[in-house]
Amino acid sequence: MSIVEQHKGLAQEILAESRSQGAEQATLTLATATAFQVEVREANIESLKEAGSSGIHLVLSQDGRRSSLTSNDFRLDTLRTLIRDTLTALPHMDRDEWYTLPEQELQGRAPGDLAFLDPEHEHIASDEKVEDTLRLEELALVQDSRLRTEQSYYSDAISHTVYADSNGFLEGISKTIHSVGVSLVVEDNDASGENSGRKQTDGWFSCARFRNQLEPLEEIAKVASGRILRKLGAVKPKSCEVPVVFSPEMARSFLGQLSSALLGENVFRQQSFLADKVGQAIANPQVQLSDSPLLPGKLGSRSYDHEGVQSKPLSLIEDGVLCNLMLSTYAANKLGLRSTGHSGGISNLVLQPGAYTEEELIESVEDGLYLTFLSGQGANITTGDYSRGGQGIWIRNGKLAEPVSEFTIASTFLEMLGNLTMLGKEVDTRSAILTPMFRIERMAISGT
Amino acid sequence: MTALATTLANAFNQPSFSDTPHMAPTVFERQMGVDEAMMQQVLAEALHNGGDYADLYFEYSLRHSVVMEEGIVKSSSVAVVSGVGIRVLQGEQTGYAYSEVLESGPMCRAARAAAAIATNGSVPLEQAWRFNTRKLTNHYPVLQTVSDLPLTEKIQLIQQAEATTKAQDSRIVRVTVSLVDSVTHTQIASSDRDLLSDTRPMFRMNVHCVAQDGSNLQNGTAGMGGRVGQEVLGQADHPVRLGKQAAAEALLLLDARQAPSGLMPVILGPAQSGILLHEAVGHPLEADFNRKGTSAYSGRLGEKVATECCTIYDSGTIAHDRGAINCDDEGIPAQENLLIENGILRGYMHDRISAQHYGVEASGNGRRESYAHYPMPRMTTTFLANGESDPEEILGTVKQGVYCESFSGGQVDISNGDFVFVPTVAWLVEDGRKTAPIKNFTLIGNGPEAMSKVTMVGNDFAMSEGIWTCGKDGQSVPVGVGLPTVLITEMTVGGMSE
Repeated sequence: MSIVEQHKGLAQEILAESRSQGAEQATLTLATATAFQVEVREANIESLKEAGSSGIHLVLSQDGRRSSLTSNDFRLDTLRTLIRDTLTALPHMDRDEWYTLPEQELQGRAPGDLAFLDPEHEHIASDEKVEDTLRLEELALVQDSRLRTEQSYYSDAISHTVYADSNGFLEGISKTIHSVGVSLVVEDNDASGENSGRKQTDGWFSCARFRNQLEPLEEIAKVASGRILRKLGAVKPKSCEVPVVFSPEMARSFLGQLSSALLGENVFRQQSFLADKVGQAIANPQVQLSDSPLLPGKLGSRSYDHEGVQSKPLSLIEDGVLCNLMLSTYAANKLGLRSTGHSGGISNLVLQPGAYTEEELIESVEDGLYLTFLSGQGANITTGDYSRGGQGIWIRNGKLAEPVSEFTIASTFLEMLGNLTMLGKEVDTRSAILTPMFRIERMAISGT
Repeated sequence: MTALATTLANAFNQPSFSDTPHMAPTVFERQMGVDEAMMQQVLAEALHNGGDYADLYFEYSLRHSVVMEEGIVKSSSVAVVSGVGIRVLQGEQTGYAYSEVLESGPMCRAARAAAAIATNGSVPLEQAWRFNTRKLTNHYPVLQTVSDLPLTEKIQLIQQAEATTKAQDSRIVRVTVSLVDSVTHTQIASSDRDLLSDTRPMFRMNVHCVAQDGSNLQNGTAGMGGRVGQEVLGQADHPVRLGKQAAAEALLLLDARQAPSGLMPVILGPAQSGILLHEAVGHPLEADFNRKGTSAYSGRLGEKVATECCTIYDSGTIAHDRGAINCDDEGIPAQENLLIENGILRGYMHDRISAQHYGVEASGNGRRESYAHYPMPRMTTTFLANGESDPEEILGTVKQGVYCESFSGGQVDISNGDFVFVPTVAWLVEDGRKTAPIKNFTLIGNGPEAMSKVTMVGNDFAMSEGIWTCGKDGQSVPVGVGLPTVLITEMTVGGMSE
């Protein structure tokens, strides 16, 4: 019997126990995972980690009152006690008329193979993974004699997750993930810059469900080295307002924060600047944003959401107009709508790519910023204000010029979306946010 | 890259038991049958390939939370988590594995996985030895933990906070109040034969609200907590205080204007501004970064790295503070460590590996998020010692600048020392007076450079309330910060107004 089938059996026992103790409704997530990780520095293994973990999350409810338990102990006698304690707390909760299980007709597993599991996963020897990690470090260090390693790493995991509820939903999925990367450090001795005598770090990684989809180690090493060396000699830019080209990683950061404002949970809580904007133009007409759960092999793909609602694609921004929000059952109940299958947030958030190469985007800017790093918590999705620390490379006459650091960039989400005029071609697939790079016409830079 | 984020993401905090932190037998022996013989067997298994040292880190935690939102008590939860982390060290190399089943078979299997790091040949432990049970000073004795408080009384507390927040103004349109308490039992057994145990209570109460004026929506938050017991709830009217504070913040921000932009003097108000130290000084002085030569402060011991008015400590011994620990997660008793003395760099924060690398005593900073993680050098409570200036006098010296009172968090790039922190409540300063509230900005600076521009330190030292969680390499740990009023003569303020 597969692990998922075993988990399903246990899930049914736990639901039966909950019912027999008096729970009217119950939802259950039950998961186990096995992970491996190796870190290498200076041709030595710095750390080697291998372990299995497990977790159960059970929400019990009765008459609109709910209480939950979490445990990593799968023994039924332990769980029996926890279920009893949880049910004891229930009468002290208030009735929440908006809390319901999903409509049964919305639940189900989307058809199709989403390529979650690498069949080779279990056949890869630890030694081979360690060899790769050592090799990646070697490949990175030969790129330039000034480079040292902060860390070269490889990690992978396999997980088995079952979701079940008292509606009768019972499904499970096994997934694998593989990741390899290197982070480098270099002394910045460029006397013309303001970081002379300081250090810089940067790196690159690859991440995929299937190990054979990882980027070649040579490529990772080259990108990592290029990224760090271009930071040497950074200066603090002058305060100004200029066009900003977001690298794919920074585009991902921006869209990740924007997606919070599109979640029903934040909308009904009045913690989203988009709360009253459905049906309105909120972005440049070129902007097409959707949530696409059914893309085989992509990291955010899923067949059903965290409460068993069948997954399907959802258009969020069409020709710049906000057309849908992402809704869980609870948020949908609050807003008088139906669940869109977004309990648990985004699946794959997809910004439709445009026509431009990286070079063309840079060439389009006479005087502006190529943004490569953002830091801090200065993106406020309640107010829509945006002010964050940045690093990047200045663009002069369409060419990358000096690196810049220790500045902030500021605008608002709505201005940024409105000013998002040019979209790149290539999409970064290393996360659940699938985005190209893009150009924003104008942002406030604060430096000297 | 490391982030100090607020406690709204209330990951792992908790409250505790009433007696000393070394009850014998521990919960692990009493309830799970983990006795000395079993621990010796697992340690022997861990060292069967060789290695210099092995340790077992047992953890059992019980966490409760209850949340009120939209005027109703919406949900409660309980979480019970247990496991053991098994570590083998050979030189500076770490082998790590963990088991969530505290039985001999699974623990020995994990020990064999951790042993894969070692290659220098088995060093058999002698038979029939005894552990040395080490006593610890308890920095967080509590009479009764918040966990022991009946649910109905917890609900009264959050209801009171909710009602107070709402009552402040009709523009307060949403209130969420949460109360989280936990007790974590830990036990460390090492191949050095040390056996220590600790019981760590944690409590956290948080109020979040939204104020609305037309289309202008603003957040307000207030929180408190620490390794405290029920007695702290009787000492002051915390729910009322937090409710008023959260509402006041949101209402103030409704009237705030856009912050200025560019280089200017920055005054950091007492308590929460301690995150300056956490980002600008604390992280870069964690010795793993220095051992690897990646920190802006690497190789600078004994050098001047700040102005003379800066004396900075990290201490795990501050009674009941959120950052307090009786011992670190490698079994080293907590202590007060001098990091910078009158501007001179005096020491780093160490774990066992970095202490050995530098040939110094471990400093009690080897911490981890849980049994599923190996320890690394981490801060506990980081603070700047009191200075001599009157805070009003500091304000009076600034002609045009900003004054920051509270923060949502910060982040630092260890290698070049650049850091940001993000104020929530802040004021424009004009001609020595706070004139108007400002919003929507980030402060950015460089650690060593910013510390060389601290020209005045106030005499109004205050510790921040226990709300901070620090993230590093994917591991979160509770920390504390503290600071008197400080003047930084020049920093980049990233606002939007001309």
